Amino acid sequence: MWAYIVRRLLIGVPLLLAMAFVTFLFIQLAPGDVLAQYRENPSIPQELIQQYEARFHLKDPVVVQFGYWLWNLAHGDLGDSFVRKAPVAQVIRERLWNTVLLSLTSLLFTWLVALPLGIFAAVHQYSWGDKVFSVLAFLGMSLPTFFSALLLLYLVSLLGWLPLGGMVSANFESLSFAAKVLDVAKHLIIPTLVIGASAVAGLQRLTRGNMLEVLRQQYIVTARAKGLPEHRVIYHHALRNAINPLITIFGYEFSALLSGAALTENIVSWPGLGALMLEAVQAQDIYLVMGDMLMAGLLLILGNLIADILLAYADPTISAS
Amino acid sequence: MTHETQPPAADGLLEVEELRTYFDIDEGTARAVDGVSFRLSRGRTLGLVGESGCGKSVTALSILRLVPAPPGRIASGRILFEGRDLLRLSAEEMRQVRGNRIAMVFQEPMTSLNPVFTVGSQIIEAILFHQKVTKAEARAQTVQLLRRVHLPASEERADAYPHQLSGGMKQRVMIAMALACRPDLLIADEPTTALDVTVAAQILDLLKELQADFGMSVLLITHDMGVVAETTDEVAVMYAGELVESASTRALFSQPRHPYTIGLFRSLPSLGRAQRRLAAIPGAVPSPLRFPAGCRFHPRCFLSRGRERCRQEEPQLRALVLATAGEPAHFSRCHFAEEAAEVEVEL
Amino acid sequence: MAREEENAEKRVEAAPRPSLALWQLGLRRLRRHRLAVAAFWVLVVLYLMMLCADFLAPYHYDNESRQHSYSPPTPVRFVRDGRLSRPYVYARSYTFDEYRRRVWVEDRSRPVPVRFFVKGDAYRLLGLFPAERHLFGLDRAEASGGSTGAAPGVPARLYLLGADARGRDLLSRLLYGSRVSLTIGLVGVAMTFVLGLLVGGISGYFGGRTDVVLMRTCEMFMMIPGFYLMLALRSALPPEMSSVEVYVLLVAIMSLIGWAGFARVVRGMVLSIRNREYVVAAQASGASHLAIIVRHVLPNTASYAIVALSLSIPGYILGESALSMLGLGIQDPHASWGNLLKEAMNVAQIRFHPWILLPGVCIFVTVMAYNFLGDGLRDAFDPRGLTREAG
Repeated sequence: MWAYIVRRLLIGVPLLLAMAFVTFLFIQLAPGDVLAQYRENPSIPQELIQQYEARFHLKDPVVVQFGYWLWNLAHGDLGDSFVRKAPVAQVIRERLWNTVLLSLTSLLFTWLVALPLGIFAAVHQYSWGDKVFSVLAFLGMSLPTFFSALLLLYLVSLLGWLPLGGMVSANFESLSFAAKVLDVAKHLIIPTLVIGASAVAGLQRLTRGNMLEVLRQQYIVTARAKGLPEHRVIYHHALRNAINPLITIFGYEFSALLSGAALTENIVSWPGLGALMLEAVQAQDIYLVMGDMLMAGLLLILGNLIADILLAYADPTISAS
Repeated sequence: MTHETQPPAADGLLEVEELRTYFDIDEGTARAVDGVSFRLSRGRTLGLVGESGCGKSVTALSILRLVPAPPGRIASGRILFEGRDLLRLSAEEMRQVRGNRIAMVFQEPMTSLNPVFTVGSQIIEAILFHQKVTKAEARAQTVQLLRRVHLPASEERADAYPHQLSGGMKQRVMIAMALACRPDLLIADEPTTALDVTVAAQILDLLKELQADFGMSVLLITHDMGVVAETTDEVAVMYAGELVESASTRALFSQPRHPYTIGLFRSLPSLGRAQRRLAAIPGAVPSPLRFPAGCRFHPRCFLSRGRERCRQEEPQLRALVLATAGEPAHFSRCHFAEEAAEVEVEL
Repeated sequence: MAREEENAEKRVEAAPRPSLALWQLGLRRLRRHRLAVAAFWVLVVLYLMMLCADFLAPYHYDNESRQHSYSPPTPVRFVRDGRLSRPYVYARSYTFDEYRRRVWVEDRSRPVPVRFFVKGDAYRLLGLFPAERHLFGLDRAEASGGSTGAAPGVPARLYLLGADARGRDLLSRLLYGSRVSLTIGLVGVAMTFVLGLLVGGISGYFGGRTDVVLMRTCEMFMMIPGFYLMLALRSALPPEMSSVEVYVLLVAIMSLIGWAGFARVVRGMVLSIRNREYVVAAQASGASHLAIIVRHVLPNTASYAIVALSLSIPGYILGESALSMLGLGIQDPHASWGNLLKEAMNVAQIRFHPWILLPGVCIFVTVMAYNFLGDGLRDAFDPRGLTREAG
């Protein structure tokens, strides 16, 4: 089991490096060099530009630059953000937790809603409930996250129940701890709902499909023939098998979640990695873009690793091999 | 119209009366089981024989009410088990019968066990849901059972996963699971079809041994006449959803009285004498959506020779030899069963 | 005895029914899926409208009128003086109230008729033939005739779905925008198809080292969060590019992200087909690799490919929309449904001018149609469903 984990971790390292290299390469594709627009800006002093040139070895060939970047990376130095005038590592650290929080709540929401709905739809196939959920699932999958975010914001602005964006209210600092938690929770609702809605749809249909597939299997007939109550057949025998494929795609689900979060973060002004990435791209803040990219890749690899471990635990046929 | 296979004095454990199980599908209503009646007494083995698609598996599933409810439905009939009509029981009462008083073993050992749980846990589960014992006792019983079905290293094997066992071993586990609560009736649906010949023989021997020990009745479903000859006391032959012949095994094999049965015997390759061609029954089993008019077998029947009566009139099941003290009656569903009795069949 | 058997055989085999090819069976099943069929027709209508965009749109996408900034939809009237008349509109202009909100005032003195096949902004039919006629619109002369109403000299404009900040007709821009949004999926999918089929096919068929290397690469591509990658790639290029360049670039980037998943599935299918008996038989009888691929492997992947591709088209549409909405895709004055939504990013604007959400509705409808169609195709071509399920 541990050997398996270590193996997966080791595979992750070259993957991360490859991602970093690809990003680096694409950045180099930009005409001119990273500092081009800053050279043209008269308000930026020459010494600063020269400092950067020296620090990032911009006069050296690409491969060397990458080497230095990696070296710096190993020491925790991801370069500086030109726009924010702060080290990239620091900027990312500030935002990292926000995205993780949002991703976790979205994940929780999605699974807690989609699984029961999927099971219900499978067990009561072709019933009204199943058909209604099917249509809703399609609606959810087809509604672009940015659109549903806008719609939701519009609705909320009419009704006034929830704050309209951001992560904390203006008076955050002055609140008690409990009130702070509540405040963040209130701000979490809209982005979680937006991301969750489309994710739930897909997962519900997947769960339904898997459950239907499993309920057709011979061992389910065996379970009933043994005289087991129906709830045991469904929640113990069927569900355990239906979940395995879902765990397998957990890694990719997580990837989709991170992506989806980015756009939503931007629209509802949730201060996370995605919004950061966007600002960085729009401002052509190169090292921030790269650092953010790397962070996203890291989160993904972790997500995949967790999924792999969960699967090895859940599916006995795997740990045997 | 009850079907007397035994003299009235003996006790009938299972009595199926005019069972009809239909499936409602897009193309129409498939009459998978269309008026099947038979009786099984305590301690006896009844073989239900027929080709694929004749409805024998559906009959077995119907007894335990395991037929998938849409699109299937039990249209009419009674299934009397120890005097109670199973079709009238509530879901909870039925649940208490399954795995407890009536157990079933299926054809495909590879897919009959849940792959994510150990085989031991699956047997323990069956015990715990029907008997008031502790987990430790259930586990002890499980290991005992596995030993009883001659599964080597039963203590360790109880914690094995299905994919770690061979087909034969899995089938033994299935049998152990079925016997966990000492049922009165064991339904075995083609238990050896998916197994190698030598393994199949072992499983059949095991079944015979256990039946003697536990005093169960066995309903054995198969398409293999060889298995029937080896293991059963009585036989019922099914075709197109109906019984076409039933008798004691000895009587059927010595003198079959239905052209279909004769055809089945003839299509068996014989090791003894030289044959030029295998004699297959021409044509194919009719679709349960649309049976031929008149006798359902007549398009493929060598005895019919296109006779009017076969094409127009559906034959009824009638007793050609009445029941005696030791022997059940010999029934046949053929207008010309007497002629069939004259046909020579070399086995 | 033999003769009796022969007769029996003849009776039984009297009426064989012709069997259908796999895709014909699938098509038949698809027709039963009413939602999928409806979705198909919706898409047909959308694409037809896209092709006739120039003709259907009353105005060119760049036709501004600052005096009509954020004009609500122009009410078209059919009754005048208590009698039915041909459809007409009034010229409108706005003033500000005490809250600095726009208040629209109509000039009721002068009805401007809505004409059909009217001469309007010039365009090129099918990109070749210069033309001027539009399906409906306001005649230029009639629209700009002098008025004695609230604001003299303000021409009448026909905004069936409202106007944007610069007074451009939303309906027209939606129609022109559909050209980008509706085609980007098809182009992107074509590229994915080729790339994925190639890589997946090679990987699955030849196996071994090639397979491992190619699949690891695929996994890497699949794992990268798509949106981040798109942003990163886009950021590497100068923000000012012509719209055509942007279009091609977006398609290229998205295909780059999307091909991996498709390639993996193709590889899986090819792998399973390659080991099937009929392929082994073909190899045993000496068929060349190419022949086997073309005659056995490809036809079996075809139905799956169609399903997978139609289900991935929405991804391209959404990707382009997202980027354009953020200002990184199609730029003004060109229209795409995505960049039309840019104005909707401000919640306050939505409250005052809810019609700016309409591009989102268009995207939603298109994506949903593709999802229904793809789902229907998948059900119809599922080989398990095509064999009779014996109850």
